[in-house]
Amino acid sequence: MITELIHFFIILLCISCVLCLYRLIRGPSLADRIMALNALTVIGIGIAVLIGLLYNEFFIDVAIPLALITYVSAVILTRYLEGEI
Amino acid sequence: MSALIEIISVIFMFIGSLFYLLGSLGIVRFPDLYTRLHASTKTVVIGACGIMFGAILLKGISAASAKALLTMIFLLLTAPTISHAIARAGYYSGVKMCPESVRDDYESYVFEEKKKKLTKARARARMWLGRRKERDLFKLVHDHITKTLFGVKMIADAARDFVRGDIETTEDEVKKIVAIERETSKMSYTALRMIPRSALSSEDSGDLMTLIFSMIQVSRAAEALAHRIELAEPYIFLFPEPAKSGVIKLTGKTIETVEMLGQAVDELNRDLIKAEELSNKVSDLEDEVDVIRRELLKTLLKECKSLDSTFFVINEIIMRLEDIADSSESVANYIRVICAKHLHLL
Repeated sequence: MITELIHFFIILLCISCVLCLYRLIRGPSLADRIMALNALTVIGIGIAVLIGLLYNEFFIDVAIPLALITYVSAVILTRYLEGEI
Repeated sequence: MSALIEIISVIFMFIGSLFYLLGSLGIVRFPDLYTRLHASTKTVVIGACGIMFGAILLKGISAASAKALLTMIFLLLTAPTISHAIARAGYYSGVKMCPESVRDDYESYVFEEKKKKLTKARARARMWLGRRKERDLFKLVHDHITKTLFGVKMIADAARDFVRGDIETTEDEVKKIVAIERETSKMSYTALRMIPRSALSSEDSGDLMTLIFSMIQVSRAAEALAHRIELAEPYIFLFPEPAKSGVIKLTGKTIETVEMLGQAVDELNRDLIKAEELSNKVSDLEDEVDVIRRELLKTLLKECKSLDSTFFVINEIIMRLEDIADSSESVANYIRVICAKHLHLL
């Protein structure tokens, strides 16, 4: 029962992934794309945790570097956007 | 018990997934960057936290749930920073708000900040040699120039005493002027030796050297005038009246020119625009000196028809005075060149 539900949740997350991808491709500004990328990575964290529940606990380890990467990449990209790099 | 925990965790995970979906919907549907950020940060991060909380409940106390807790805390800490950075970067890079939005309080703040930065940059661009070390070098050159101009200004006193017939004080003052000019030439040599050692660009050091050289011209002219005054002493009682008053007038105008030049040099490392204006004034004053000199010569030629040595002596003095004015004009011209080099950037 619980595995089917988790599969259902993963499908929901995949749908939101597609929605974020739309914004990532469509833009219109670079700031929008950075925001969409950030949201996509956070969704990726959710998917990693859910897959970790389904198959193997080690998939949860993927979530930590992803969270770190979102933070650093967002800060660096926004710095670039402000023209400071 | 475990069934209850499973139900609760599934409910949490469901809420999280729902938040994810709604947040993504907001990211797609909202009209501008700022409202989309509102959707993405709040909703998506809360969705992640819901899913992770469900996972923690499901796993109990274990390594996996510790990792999930760590990620959750990290996400909660970083999400506001990220959204703030994105909003700020978007605003600075010119992303517009949607047309329905009512007010923008940040605009005035950003405008003020930009204005402050611009005025600071302008002030820096208006200085000739901005950095600290170079400022010391400029001070050396500046000291040389002020000393030279001080010596030139003493000529006014010497000329006044000379015309009054006070020969002893005139001699003293002439000696003083010559001594000051000697000192300035020594100062100019030390400055010239310092310039190639400094961190100046070759163009700037060339400018400084040319400035010093044209200043040396001024001091040479002043020294020559002092010597001429010394030579003319036996003739002072033969001077006609218009010659005396004319020489005083000419000296006054020349000293005015030199003082204006001193102000222009003072402004050179502070405000190039002002320095340019002042050097323009120097040129105007030099023209006036020319006019006075021409009138003086005209009246003198009318008065003394026979060409005797008195006229020769007077003419020598007038020519040296003119030399001082001319060489200070050439310094002013060089200041104008420096200003033109640096002000085209503004």
